[in-house]
Amino acid sequence: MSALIFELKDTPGQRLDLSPLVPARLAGMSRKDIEAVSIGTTRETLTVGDAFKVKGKDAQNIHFVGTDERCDKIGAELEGGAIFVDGDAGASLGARMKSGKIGVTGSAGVLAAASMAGGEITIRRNVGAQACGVALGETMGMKGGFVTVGGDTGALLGERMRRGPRGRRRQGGRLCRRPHDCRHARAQRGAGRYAGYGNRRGSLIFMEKPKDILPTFSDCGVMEFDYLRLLEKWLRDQDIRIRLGDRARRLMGDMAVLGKGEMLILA
Amino acid sequence: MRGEEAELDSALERAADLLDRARFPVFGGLLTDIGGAAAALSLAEKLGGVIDHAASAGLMRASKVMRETGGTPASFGEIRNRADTVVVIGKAPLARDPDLVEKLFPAKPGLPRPGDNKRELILLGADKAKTPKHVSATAVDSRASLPELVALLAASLREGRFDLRDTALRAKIDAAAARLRKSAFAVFVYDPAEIEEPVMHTVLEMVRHLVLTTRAAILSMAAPGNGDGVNLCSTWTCGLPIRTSFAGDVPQHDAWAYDTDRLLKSAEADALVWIDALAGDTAARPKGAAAIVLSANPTRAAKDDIVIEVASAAADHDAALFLPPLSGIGMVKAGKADKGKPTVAAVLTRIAELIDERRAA
Repeated sequence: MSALIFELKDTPGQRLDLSPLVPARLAGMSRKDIEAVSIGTTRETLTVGDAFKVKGKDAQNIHFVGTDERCDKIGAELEGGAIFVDGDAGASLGARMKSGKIGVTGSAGVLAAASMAGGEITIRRNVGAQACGVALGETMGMKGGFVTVGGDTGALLGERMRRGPRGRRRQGGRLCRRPHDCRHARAQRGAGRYAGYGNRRGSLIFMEKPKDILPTFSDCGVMEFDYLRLLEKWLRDQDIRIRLGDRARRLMGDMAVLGKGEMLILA
Repeated sequence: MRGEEAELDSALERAADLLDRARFPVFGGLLTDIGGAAAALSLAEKLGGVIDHAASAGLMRASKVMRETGGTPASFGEIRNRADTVVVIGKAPLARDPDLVEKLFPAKPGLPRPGDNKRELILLGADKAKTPKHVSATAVDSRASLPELVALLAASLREGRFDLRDTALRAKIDAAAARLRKSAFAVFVYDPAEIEEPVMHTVLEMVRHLVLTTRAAILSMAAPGNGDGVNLCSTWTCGLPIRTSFAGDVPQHDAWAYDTDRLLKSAEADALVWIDALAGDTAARPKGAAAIVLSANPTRAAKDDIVIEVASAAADHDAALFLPPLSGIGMVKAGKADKGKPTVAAVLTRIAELIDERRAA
């Protein structure tokens, strides 16, 4: 069965709420019913049929084509199935998702993967502020799942994150992240000011020295870490090729809070 | 109106016409009293628009942090009477209220306090130039940024290890932390518009660490322009804070999506109602859409603006406002009542009536 395709007709005149377009909600619906689903966010009524050309049938495999940064909440609360976005995604991509896969060829807006609990998101280009952070109305950031960002990230990446590895290949914004209680490692090339501010637990792995290291991260010197080799292998299995080696400079912190986390800068 | 003076009735008709045709109007500024805010909420609900306040950035940060982890706020009166150590974080609290120190440290002794420490003020990231003579004050200031100073104080408070080459700063930080540890009631004062969420969380971590052995609290500065009053009015009216849209079946709050500046820059909003009518406060109007300006201050009208001169709340008419010393809403008597100008509430109510008449016709 061919994928269910939503091809954007024109640049929308308002933000679109695409949260109803997930496999669990579209399963068993006819094309006419799908085209009648309301996705507008202003008092001007806007349905799926007004904004998208709808093709295909397989609601477990959804494709969005030609979308832009106004297409919000793609894959929000996803609970299985696959969504592929050929274009950009707006705010709250995959927010609160529990399982399934999302792939984006372009960039995503603010709050991508916010309060995500499971599943996998791959964004080929950049993400906006508060990626993997706290979704609206939630108290905690990302709790599980796997997110890969090919480009830059905005401020407050991983804010109040608890669990779930995240790979990032380029630069981060200021006050880069504040994981609350995360237990997994993540690899990133560089970071903006105050990386790791308020880090309680977990490991931040940097391929390059962050711009400003907080004095509340205590330098423990260069050490060997066997788990970096294991992590490198695991990332390779996830199709992410990053050379980590096994030596890194370790800084413990953030001592301003619990202080049981660490920052590793690859040697 | 279009740069020319017009009768009030004509301006109201034009405003009703513009708003009735608008696809997504935004009610911004909202420097008004509770009556004006309630009328704006009612009209926004009728039109499927958005409500936002000029001081929303700090308000949204403070409420986000409070929602995520909770907090232990203290009232002005409690701090004045019972706190023995007050830490003012950053320059904004004293810039916002130059009399803040005098309000928190009155010259005359107040009610009996816990502990026998002399009262002390610690200024973190600010200088003590304007501190009254009767107040024992210490300034912890350096080239270090405010987030760094907060992190250093928090680390020293927990007696954790940190690397700091500036020995003079280290001595000040350690002395402030020691003072906090032996305080009977320590309070941290900050302006949420000045510090970001991670820094606020670190301040709250300090409070949580202190309350294991003693008492501690925070005082988050109220938003200017009756921001807290408008926010409370929104909450008791529709169950959600400001930056809420009424376009859908149910109101929807989103601190990022319903920011006035963003809505206008992205051209998602096609009409702006800008309200600037509060004694002692004003805010710069953003550009980007046809505007209906309700102002008590002299304002420059753009080509398509409809400017309606209104009374200034608490100056021209009595006004219900959020009063920080009370931590609640109170009535403020007008300095000199001017009944010649309409109130914000009266103008917005009349516009709503005109829209109803148009729709009924």
